[in-house]
Amino acid sequence: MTRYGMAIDLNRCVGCQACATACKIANNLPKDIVYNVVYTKTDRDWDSSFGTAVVRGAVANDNAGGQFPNCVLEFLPVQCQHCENPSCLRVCPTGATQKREDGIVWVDGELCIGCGSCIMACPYDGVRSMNEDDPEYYLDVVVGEYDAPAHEVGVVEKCTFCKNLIDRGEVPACMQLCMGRARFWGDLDDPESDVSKAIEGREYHKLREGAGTDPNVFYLI
Amino acid sequence: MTEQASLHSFSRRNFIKGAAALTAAGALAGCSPQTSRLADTGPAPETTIYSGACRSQCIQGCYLDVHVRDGQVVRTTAGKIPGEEFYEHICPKGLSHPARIYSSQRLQYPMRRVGERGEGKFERISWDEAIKEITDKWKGYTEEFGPTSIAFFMGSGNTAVLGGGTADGSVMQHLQVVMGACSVLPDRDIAFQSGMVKIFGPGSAFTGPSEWPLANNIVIWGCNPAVSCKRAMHWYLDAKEAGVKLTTVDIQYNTNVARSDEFVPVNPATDGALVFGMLSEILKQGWQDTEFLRAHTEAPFLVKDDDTFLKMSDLGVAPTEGKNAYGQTITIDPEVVWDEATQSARAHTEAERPAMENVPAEVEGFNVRLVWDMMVDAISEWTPERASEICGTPVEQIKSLARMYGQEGPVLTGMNQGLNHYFNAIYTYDMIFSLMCITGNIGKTGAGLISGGGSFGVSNSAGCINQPSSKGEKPQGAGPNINWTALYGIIHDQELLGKPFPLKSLYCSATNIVSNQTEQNETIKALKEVEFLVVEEMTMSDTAIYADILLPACHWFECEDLRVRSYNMPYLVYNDRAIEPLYESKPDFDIYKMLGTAMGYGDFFDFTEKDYLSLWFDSPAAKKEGVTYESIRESKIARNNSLKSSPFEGGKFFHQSGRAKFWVEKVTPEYNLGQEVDESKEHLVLYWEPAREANLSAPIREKYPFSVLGEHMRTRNHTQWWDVDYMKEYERGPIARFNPDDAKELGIGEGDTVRLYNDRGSVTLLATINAGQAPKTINCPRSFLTREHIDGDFATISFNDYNQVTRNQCYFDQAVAVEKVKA
Repeated sequence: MTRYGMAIDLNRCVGCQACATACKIANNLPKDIVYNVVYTKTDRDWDSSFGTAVVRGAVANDNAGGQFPNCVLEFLPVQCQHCENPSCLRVCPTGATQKREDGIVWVDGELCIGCGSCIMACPYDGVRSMNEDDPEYYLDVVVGEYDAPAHEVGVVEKCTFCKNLIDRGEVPACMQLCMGRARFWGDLDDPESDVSKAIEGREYHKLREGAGTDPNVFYLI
Repeated sequence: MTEQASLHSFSRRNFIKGAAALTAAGALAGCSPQTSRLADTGPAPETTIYSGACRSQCIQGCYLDVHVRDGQVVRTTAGKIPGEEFYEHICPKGLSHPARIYSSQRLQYPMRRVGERGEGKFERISWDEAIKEITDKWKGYTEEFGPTSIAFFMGSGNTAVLGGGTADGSVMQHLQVVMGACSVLPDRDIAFQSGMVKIFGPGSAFTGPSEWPLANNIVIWGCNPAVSCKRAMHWYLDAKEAGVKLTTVDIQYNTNVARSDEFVPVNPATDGALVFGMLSEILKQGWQDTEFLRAHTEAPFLVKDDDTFLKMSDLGVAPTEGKNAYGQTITIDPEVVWDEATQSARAHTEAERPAMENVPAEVEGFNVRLVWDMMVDAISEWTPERASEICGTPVEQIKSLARMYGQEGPVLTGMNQGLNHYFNAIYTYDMIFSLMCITGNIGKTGAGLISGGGSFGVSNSAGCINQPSSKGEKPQGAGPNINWTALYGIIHDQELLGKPFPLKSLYCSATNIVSNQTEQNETIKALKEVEFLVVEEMTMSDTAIYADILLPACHWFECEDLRVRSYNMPYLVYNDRAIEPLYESKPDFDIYKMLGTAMGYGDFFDFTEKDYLSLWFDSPAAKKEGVTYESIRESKIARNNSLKSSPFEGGKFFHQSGRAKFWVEKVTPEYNLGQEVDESKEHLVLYWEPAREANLSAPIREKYPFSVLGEHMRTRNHTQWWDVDYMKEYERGPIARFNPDDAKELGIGEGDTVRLYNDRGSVTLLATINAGQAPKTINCPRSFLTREHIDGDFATISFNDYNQVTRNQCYFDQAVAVEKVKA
């Protein structure tokens, strides 16, 4: 069985925002929709606040915490965790939220009624967006992949693991190409996959495991 | 699908309609809804991948895949470099090219100024009108004042050959040489290069990434790879994973520090003092690498009373002739050392054991000083304690850093331009390079310098620039170089050093000097006073606003070119013409040719892109690699396999002596503006003095208590990408990072509006609190346009004069006072 997952080495993330930009453009995301946020953190408590981000209203990224020169500066990229046991799946009243056999959790825009239940149920704040109004774009030109997700009013959107790309043998846009080489992706059931090899022997953290979601995004710490 | 994918009505963004005037600052922001999307059913539309070269002189120059669908660039990804995947890169800037191409801020037509200079009011004109108006003016100036009344500012914003003005054989250089125009030197990032050439000799000093894991220690010293040289970041991390200890020496706790094993904090621009403290400890402990100094440096050389070296000709041995590495004939007159083995004066090339001590004060009738003795004397004036008082680094840390260089090598030292931006930059680099040599941390496996070099190698750049006309006439040759700091004076006085220097017109291409040169108010004075200003640009930059004639350049992917400049990647990258130029924009290549032809030099521009690039490839390096115009159009990239990953292998330096240099016989300032030069600072490379304003003890700090670092932005290179809205999700606008205690004392909170000011200028922006900021320092990521600031401009607070010998702008050597404007 194929079971897709991702590992993000927090010792290698340098907060460059390439993964966030790649996601934004490959998926032709409107102005206010963000699937992947690289947060700045001033502590190493990964389960508390994800941190701050300009795209979430902060004045600036990249500010350290602590007392000079003994400071803390970390980065935490957060997207849909493609959980083994997704809480969003259970609460969706229309069956719009679905989990594929390969583990990818996605929202079928045709079925979504925008009730927001999944947003409420998900322990990973901010990984979903609801298009309240007609989406606005930075560009008049349609960019990204030809089969990028639709961005329609009244529908919840989130990271799709770029299933459009995966399904034709390519890699998720955020993997293309991490400057710190912090991201690893592939089949968790294949011990030879990049993601399996990255996790092998490493201490890792899964976000907010207390929620019982069993995420498939592994943070190597 | 074709219809759906077509350009979604640019008409509402055509910001010049007919001859209607426009205020540039008000140019059409905002977003419109896309009228269609693509994920409908139907056959997948075809996507074609073209080769792209990202080339804004961020010192990298990545190879990109440019995805084109229905004639539009829709995505960019990293190009593949089989076998050397560690050279595959793309950053947020490279990823957002579609937004540069389809930016609402693109200049669409040639324009003529209709309002006051700098007011930003223009009217649309045709290309024919624009070229005629420019060349009529230029011909008039040439007739009346000579060709040197026209100056080109050849910026680094497009590091190609056909486009842009980089000094690698570009067509713009050819235009300058054919016209006989002057060149305005940007005069930035100079001291680093000067120090390398001075101490190591002329050549690439870059240690390739394959060497990095072989080090025991790597020091990121006064540079910011996480932001400014992103490609290098994973090389550092790879080395760290391989067991190398990573240390960062910096004035602030930033991303590099966060990823390092150790942080060595240092006060701004006091790194030279830090090195003196380290060297004092190194000598005390006997950790210097005497055998390296003896065999591979000029430390054993002898200096006469006239400050020149004692040479074999002084001993009556006639010089001979030989060839240098470039095949040029040179005079060989070896320097003399005292040979310990024979207790006699001998050529350094022949001595068995050049003495590092106990050299007689008089040798063969000459009073001599041993270079190493002078170095020891200079170091003896310092202790780690004295250094610590100045540089702020704890004494114990100075000692442990000394131990690292002295005992725990090999050490690789990673540097770029951060330390360059202070008045004392040249002395800082001299000190650090000397430290590397004194401890033998260069020229050995796993040791050396991480920076610079790595470009393709020797091209036929001179042949391109100086190529004769199709009738065989020679170009008249370039006019004089104008130092940046002298530009305004020349424009205002029409003279230089008391001699007439009529300068009437300035042509700026691939550059935004208003934002990117120091002391903006001086720049603006120059642009307001110059008689005729031509700017060629992609967008309405701060410089474009001042133009008399504005020429719209196309985006890089809209024309064919060759990326020749990269400082850490040994590949050339060919850039396909992926799409047609938008609107009426044209490739730089076409524009330079049109200008040259209209100036009456058509025979000098009777070439195609293929002709020009083929001539550029007519070089020994390209021939050795078998690279031709035809081959690179196929392969897209080409490697120079001759570049060594360890450039000083075997301790062999690029000077004629083959040794690293510590003593400069003849002090030659890089510029002459009539300045007085105190040569006593310049002979021995171990010299240090504080920066001008960044120095905590400078008297000006009583009035202006904060020094201001202007680090690069993650999302722009210089001001390029200013119009890419995607990037504003990460850096929304100008900010000033404050130390929390300073902020508290000033009563400043997160997001407050503050004004930084000094006698030269002022900038109003948002405050943000950063514990990584050392007390009394502020950090403002720089590269915003004036219109993006709440008021003023960050570039107004710097000064634009130079160190006595180095033509180097000082972007960080500035002190300000702070005023809270609004909570």
